[in-house]
Amino acid sequence: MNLDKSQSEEDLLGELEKQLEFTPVDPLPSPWALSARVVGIAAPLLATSLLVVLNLRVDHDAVGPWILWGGLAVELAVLFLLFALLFSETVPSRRIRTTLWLLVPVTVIALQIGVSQATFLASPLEPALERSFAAGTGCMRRMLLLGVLPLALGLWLATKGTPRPALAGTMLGLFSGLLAESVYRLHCPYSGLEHVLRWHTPTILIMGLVGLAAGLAWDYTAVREWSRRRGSP
Amino acid sequence: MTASDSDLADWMRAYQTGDREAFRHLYRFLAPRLRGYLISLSLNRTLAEDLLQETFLQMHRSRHTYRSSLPVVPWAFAIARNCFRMERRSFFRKRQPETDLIALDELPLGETFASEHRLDLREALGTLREDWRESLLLHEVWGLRFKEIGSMLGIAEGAARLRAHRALAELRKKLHPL
Repeated sequence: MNLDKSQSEEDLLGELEKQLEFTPVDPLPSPWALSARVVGIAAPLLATSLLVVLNLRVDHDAVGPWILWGGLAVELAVLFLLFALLFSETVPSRRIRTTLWLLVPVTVIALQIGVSQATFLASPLEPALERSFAAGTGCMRRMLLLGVLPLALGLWLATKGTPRPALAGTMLGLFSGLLAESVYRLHCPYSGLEHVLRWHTPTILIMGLVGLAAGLAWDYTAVREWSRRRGSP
Repeated sequence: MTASDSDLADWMRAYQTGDREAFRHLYRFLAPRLRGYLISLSLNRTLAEDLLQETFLQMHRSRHTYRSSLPVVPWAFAIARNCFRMERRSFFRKRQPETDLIALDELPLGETFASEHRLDLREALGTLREDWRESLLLHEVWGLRFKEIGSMLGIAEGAARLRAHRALAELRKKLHPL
């Protein structure tokens, strides 16, 4: 039995050596480096585009540079950690505990609301009632547009290794939503709870759903490819 | 074949540079262990052998994901596990393969679980909860630390330890009923 087993293992080795091409590969960068690529590329690009196309929020003097740029810096720092946490799963044996992932959306939303409220305390601007729907839908549209780049970049990097596509897609969507929202706050003068909870927070959640859909599509493709390779009818 | 952690890491690094001989060393060390692991997951020898090839193919495709600061064995076992789970999910396989507890005889259990009755041990292991059996065997048979098992399965180290402990208690109850 042992001889048969060893022989079949040697036969398999021979088969594998025939099939495989032993070309050198570069190890995947560390999760920190991957995270820096997303945040480091997306944040400046989005901020610059936003400020060129639109303008700095009209109440930036009232908000002050510490809250305006400091709030953004805090969110980007947290996002850097969250992206790195996700990219740590590109190593197959490094799965983050599921219970920890449940805390992440709570953290994202809490951070977003916290920074918005700190901004609102400095400058309590509210849109006029007749303008609030138009202002809100405008915010949502622009944030969704801003979120596309970090989500696309994050998904592209994650497909190089992450084994849990649906989870990765959802988290990347949430993180991209938060990134877009934090950059967008450089323009949007409305940081009141009503406006934020009605238009900004749902945008982050919508990005999460978009990410989930992308993750499920990626997962479906992977399972189909596996079935095809295994010769299923 | 035995090898130290640093040997495995050296071979992995060399494999990443395209070294065929390093792959052979890794294969000879990992193949019997991965085969046993796949048997313990699938409870089917034929499927396990099939998945062993898939595992090495997937390892080759994913060799860029290995980082030299990490141990090789959990990395390889995680890939095998992902292959097993993918196989289970693959939607055209409407008929699940039959379980064949005799396959468990191939695992090196004798050193770890002294039992006069091989049949009883096989039966007892085969009827354990999947997640308990997995944690127990990963630790007791293949020597993974509970921290590594937790990281591989996406659970806390304590949870991995608890699963193994419960599996052992259940095994004792089945093998030595009062």
